[in-house]
Amino acid sequence: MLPRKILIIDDEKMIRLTTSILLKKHGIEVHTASSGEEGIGMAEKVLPELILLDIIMPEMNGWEVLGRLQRHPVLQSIPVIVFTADDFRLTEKNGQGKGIYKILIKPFQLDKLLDACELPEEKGVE
Amino acid sequence: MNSKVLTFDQIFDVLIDGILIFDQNGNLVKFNQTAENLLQRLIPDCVVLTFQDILDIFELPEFPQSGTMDKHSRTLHEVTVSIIRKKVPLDGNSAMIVYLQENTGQKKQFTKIQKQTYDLLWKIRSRLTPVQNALSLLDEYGDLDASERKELLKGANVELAYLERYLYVYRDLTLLSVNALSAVMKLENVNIAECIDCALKNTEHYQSYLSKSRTVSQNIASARPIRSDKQRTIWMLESIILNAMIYSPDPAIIKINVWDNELGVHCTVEDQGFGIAARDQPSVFTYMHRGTNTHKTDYNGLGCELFLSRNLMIILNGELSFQSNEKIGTVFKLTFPAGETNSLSTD
Repeated sequence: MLPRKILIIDDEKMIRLTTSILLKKHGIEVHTASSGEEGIGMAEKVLPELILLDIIMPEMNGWEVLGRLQRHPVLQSIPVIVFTADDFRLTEKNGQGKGIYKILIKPFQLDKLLDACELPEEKGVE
Repeated sequence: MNSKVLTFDQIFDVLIDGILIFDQNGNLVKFNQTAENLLQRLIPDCVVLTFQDILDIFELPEFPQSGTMDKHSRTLHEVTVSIIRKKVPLDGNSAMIVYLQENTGQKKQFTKIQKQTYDLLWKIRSRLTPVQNALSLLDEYGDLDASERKELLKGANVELAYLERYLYVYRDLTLLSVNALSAVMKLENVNIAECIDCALKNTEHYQSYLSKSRTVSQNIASARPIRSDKQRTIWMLESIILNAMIYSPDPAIIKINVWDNELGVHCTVEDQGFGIAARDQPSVFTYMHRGTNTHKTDYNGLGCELFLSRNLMIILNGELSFQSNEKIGTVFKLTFPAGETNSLSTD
């Protein structure tokens, strides 16, 4: 089941644009943020069912965002899919205990993104 | 490209590791200049013909029968050398490669650049995603509205232009990491005004990508040629002009000045943009550093073009420096050694 509402946190404009267009085409309400700080604020505001998060961002990187989400009383239960181009550094050890739902290695294809966004039944719709 | 194409042997000869290759019978079949220089310095008049000679010179034990690699350290005449022996398959037999590394800071520096250059590959990979996805969306979704199609096409073009620049950076950083960049640079007498014209022309289309116009004024007060690599001079100027465009409000106002004195030929590229925050200024030429306010633009750099430019200028015996004030603007200054008049490159 696809979530109804997704938040994309990525500093790359084109990733936000292409991902938004695709998800909207599948009836998903999409919100975007271009930095970690903005993303956390946006998450508090819109309470997404899923967060797509880039790891390599300036100022607050994806790991810091994950840490903040994990400590947040409301946002900690939201599944997070992380984007990364570095599949060596992003080992299971790095992700352990950090609330990562799935990992998408860049470059990824759009159908892979849609597959990754599927949530267990109780979280999604339809 | 103006650059020389290096053969394997030339690259082999500029590696900072000394390398000797022995065949299955222990006979020396290949070695590079670094190995020869190091051995001559340590043991003048030494002749290495066999693997046993290396064992004798460095008092190494026999290579273990079952081993594939080992490492030793020896000090001769106050020079400490690491010796790595590696068994490798060669033409269906077992050959032995011996690496000789003099323990200097240079080795450490180039190892660091090598690792960072490898990291750059991942950055390049990540930029493929939006290009691939934009093209997939355009191909698969016929019902995209006109503004979405336009934005996707424009975005894909921008990403491709950036990819082209990054591959160029990747190539030169890779050469730098094995200390081979200076060997491929083609030094000649170059007309800097011509380079500026090329750089401006090559960056013209970014106005559309950035949805921003630019106004450029030039004051070329020197006719002296510079001693430089023409293609790389154009590339550095493009990089600095692009930064001026990206980090300026619309329209980007850019002034380019050229003059000369006894120190060389100077070129400044001045913008009236956002400037570089004081806290970021010490790290401007640091590899993979991105300014804390750079994400506020839609176009992200890799954080290595200025690092590469500074290294290119060092190789050219020139200098790259800058001055910047937040909300006032930035001036980058390139100082090139002067070339000889009346012998300009014509390509």
